[in-house]
Amino acid sequence: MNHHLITLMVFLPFVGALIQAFLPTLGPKSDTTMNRWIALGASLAASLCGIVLVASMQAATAELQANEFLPWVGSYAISYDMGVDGLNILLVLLVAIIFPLLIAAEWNQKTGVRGMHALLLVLQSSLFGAVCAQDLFLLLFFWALSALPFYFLIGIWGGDRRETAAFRSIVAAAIGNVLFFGALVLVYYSVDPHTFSLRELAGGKLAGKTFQFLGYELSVSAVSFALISAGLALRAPIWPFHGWFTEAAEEAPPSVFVALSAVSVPVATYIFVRLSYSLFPETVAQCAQGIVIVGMINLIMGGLCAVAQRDLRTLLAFLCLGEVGLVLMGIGSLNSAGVVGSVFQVLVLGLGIAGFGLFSGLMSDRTGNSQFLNEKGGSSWGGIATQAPATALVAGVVTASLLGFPGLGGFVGHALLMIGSYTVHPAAVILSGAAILLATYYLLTMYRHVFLGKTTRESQAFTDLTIREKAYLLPIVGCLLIFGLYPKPLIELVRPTILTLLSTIK
Amino acid sequence: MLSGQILPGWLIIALVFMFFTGLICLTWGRRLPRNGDWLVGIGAIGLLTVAALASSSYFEDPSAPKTWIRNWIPPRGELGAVNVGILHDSLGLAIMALASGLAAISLTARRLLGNEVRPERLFAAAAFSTTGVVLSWVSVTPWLAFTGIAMSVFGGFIAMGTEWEHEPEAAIAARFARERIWGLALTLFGASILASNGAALNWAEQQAWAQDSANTFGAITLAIGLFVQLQPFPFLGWNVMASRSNPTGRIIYAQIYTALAAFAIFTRFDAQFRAVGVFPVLGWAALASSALTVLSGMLQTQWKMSLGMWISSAFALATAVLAFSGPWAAASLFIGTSLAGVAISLFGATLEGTGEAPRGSNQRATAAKFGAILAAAAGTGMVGFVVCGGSIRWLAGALDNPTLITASAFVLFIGALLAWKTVWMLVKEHPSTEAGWAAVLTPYLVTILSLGVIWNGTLTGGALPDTQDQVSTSALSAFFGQPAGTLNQDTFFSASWIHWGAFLLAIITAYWTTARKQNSWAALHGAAPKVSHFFASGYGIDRLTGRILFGLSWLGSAIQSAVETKTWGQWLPQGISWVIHRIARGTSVADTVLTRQLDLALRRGTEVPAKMLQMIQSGDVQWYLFFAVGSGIAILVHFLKF
Repeated sequence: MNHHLITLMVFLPFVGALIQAFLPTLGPKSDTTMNRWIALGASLAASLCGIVLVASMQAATAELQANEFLPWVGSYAISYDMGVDGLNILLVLLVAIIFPLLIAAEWNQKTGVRGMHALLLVLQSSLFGAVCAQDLFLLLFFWALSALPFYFLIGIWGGDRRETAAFRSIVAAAIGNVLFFGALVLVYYSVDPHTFSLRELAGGKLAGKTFQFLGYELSVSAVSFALISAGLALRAPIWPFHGWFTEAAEEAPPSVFVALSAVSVPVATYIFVRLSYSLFPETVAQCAQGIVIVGMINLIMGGLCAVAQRDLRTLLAFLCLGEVGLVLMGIGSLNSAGVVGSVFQVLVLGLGIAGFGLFSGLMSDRTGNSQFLNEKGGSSWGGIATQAPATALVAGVVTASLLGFPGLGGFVGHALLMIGSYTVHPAAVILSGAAILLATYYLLTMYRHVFLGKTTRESQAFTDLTIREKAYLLPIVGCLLIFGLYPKPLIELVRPTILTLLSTIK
Repeated sequence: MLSGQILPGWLIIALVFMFFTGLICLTWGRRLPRNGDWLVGIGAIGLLTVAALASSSYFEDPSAPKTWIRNWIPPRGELGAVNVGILHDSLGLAIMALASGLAAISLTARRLLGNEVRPERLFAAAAFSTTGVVLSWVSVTPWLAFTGIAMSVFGGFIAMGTEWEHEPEAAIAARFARERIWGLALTLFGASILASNGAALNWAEQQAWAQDSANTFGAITLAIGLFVQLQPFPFLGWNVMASRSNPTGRIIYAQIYTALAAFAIFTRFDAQFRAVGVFPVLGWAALASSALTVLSGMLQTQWKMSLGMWISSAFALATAVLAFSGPWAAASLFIGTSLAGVAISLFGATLEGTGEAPRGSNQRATAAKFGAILAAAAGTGMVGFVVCGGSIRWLAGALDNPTLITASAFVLFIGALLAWKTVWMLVKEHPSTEAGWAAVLTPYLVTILSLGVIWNGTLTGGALPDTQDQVSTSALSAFFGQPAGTLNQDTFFSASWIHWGAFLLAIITAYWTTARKQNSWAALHGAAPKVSHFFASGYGIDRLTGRILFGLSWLGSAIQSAVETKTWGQWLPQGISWVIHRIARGTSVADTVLTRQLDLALRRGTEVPAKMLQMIQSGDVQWYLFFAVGSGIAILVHFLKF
């Protein structure tokens, strides 16, 4: 199985980005068609590697697969250690599906298309790398790297207040990364011989380790867990540290916000699960209730704030905030159905949010803004279902999946999360049920104001999906349907790893 | 011959075909305006054929495997496993045949009606709703049935959206979707709780659920979610909103089919609901709900809304009957009233016709009116129809309990009154029709389907005790066994008296109040508009929900403003900026002072020796004198130490 697929998957987009950056425009100066195709080709090739990797994964084993190892900085035991197992394989699939679609969505970008595509490719590389890294230092390297493209993408191609949004996003990421780095150093020096290898650190190696700080004896596991959690909370986002996220939602180009909310946020939750379950099992067992409480706060605050939104993008941001809370509930359940549910939900949530985000992008493209309600609470658009039935259908499927409609991907994730969590945290599940009812209200209110009702002047000129738009939206709809109707193969890939990790905790 | 083993394959093919016909109608329907009904009709006939062939194979080979169960989400044996499967039983096949048959009939009738604005949406709704109902009734676990309910909700939404372009219609369609999905979410939530607690979610295995609090809570939530799909009080919701959509879409697909899909789970889980105590408690709630729904329906100004209320109240009543008397009587009521509702809505659509109907009556209108009256009679329990037997057996079972029998008789009476009032309204308001004879006569087929001989095998529909008029096997007994409770002559006749009393009194009262020149209900509405509006709008529940949602929106806005705009956008940056500026200014001041002091100290430190050296150099101070004075001081200091 190991044909350096992971390396190809990680570095092909990077090569594509280098080509974008250093090769001159091919053909006439204003014609960037060839460059676009190169960007799409690089992204698709990497995604193909990812999909082959997923397809060739062996089910019923918790072993790391497609492992690639190369010493990097020998004196500090830093290595290029990559591999996939049940915990990260769905994230590989998510990144593989989404990024080519984002490049296709930005096909007609008028300003600096090469730069934008190059940055998206760097982002794809770094996120693939962060997902597959089995070395703590390497993981932080890729994860920290992923913050930079966002800064430039928001700062250059964003809206009127792009500088502020970019600045806030990079500050949040930088603080998060510093906290992460602190944990990394602590973990590194607490084991002998010093190592960054996740496999060597796993299995409770940090249990009982302590260090002195200002005369106090502190647990390495607890402090590192707290630092990593806080670091990731700034990038996940977690309420109330989400201000940069909603601002990015307003200012970032739609495809960039999709990358942020549909890929970067799921990757942050993955890193949290990977590190906390494998490195700090005893701390996770102690803090499980705290994780669920944080999740519930996110869910409720996200839901309440979403009800008040009039803009598709901020609605999406708060929806994402709430859904992260649901995923945290599954992570804190420490129960196979709950954790498998949260891993699966991360995939379908990413797809759902990507679909919603791209849909909001095409609404912005056509109408110049993404406000679905005007100041008086009336419809800004309305009647689009008549003008553009395919758009209405795509948005309907995505919305239904986000609500957990049976037959779509969201249903499987939601059902597993609830089944797994109820026995452990019944109150949280009841709250999550209320949050889903609230989500039904605000998402259907949005749908009604955008697609149904009287056609306004703005929506009269609304055209239906072009072939290019269908090409990047229909794969998402297809995946949501397939994963909803036949989730078994994916769940069978995930379960053994989760069961192994849970056995360590228990 | 279709063997039992290959039934799931054929069934799945038929269902997928039906689903895709809906999708085709929805997406390309405008380009195929005259082909949509044919496509959906072929799908319906396909499903009907599979049901017929499977039934024959079922009767020929009863030993054939009856369930096909497959794991869907976690491993099959694990706690909370989500399995799906197909149940091959006579009840499921009968409802499958009924749903597909009704879809085919209503399509035929609709086509003959003519100028629907967006007919393709109705065709799509027919396809999705039928697929949903069939999925719901042939599934062996509730999970697949939920998918069926979801699909029928989607069908209903499409059906409600034939005139989405108009704001009020859009609002109704959106509310329909929201309320139904709320119900579905509650259902899923309840099922998930049950699954997490290890309760067997498979109705082929009729073992009782463990009686613990989690199961009771899960079962209650599941039952409430299902009850929402029936839409009686307090979930009247969109039902109280006037619309100009086609009655076929509003009543058949949006209301009856969704309820039919949900009722599958109620019926299949009868024993389980009883085991955890949901039944008969829910029965009382359903009975009260039915009464309140009827009272609200009495004050509706449109016959469509009035009919919708009657159907909802009848479904609530059927749920109560299920809780008190079991599935035999409940299914009689549910099937009978559903068919009557379909027939009345089709006759109503025929009478409403399209365009400017000429004043004065014509023969087709008379036939349609007679059909509507016959359907109302069938739905309220006339001799010969299935409701009659169900109602009498239910009342006979309730005779032991004075409170229950009084409440039941009252609800039966007001329910029948609402049905008759609705029909009188319909026939009075529509003197003529433009529809052709085929359209007028087709709904009679639906009424015929509710004959007792089809469902309980009796010519009178169960109006006689014992089986004096039994001419064929009772399908209902084949589905559920014999009706609950023993029926002796006395109890049967007592129950019959109550049934016929309520039936006749309802007809007379309805005629007296509605059919005569002055409509008393309309007069009441005019005399006390506020009170009347309160009842008709569903007892203010709607306004209360609206206020709660507005409050939540306000709260969300306030939280967002406090956290993002104020805290992160103003106070925190301003605070940090203030602290940084203060620190910077303080550092700057300290730096200035320190530099000045250092400068001063340096100057003072170097000034004295420099001056001295300068004096020595200039000759103002003799150098040897300087050393002599210095040596003297040194000697003095040395001796002073001792």
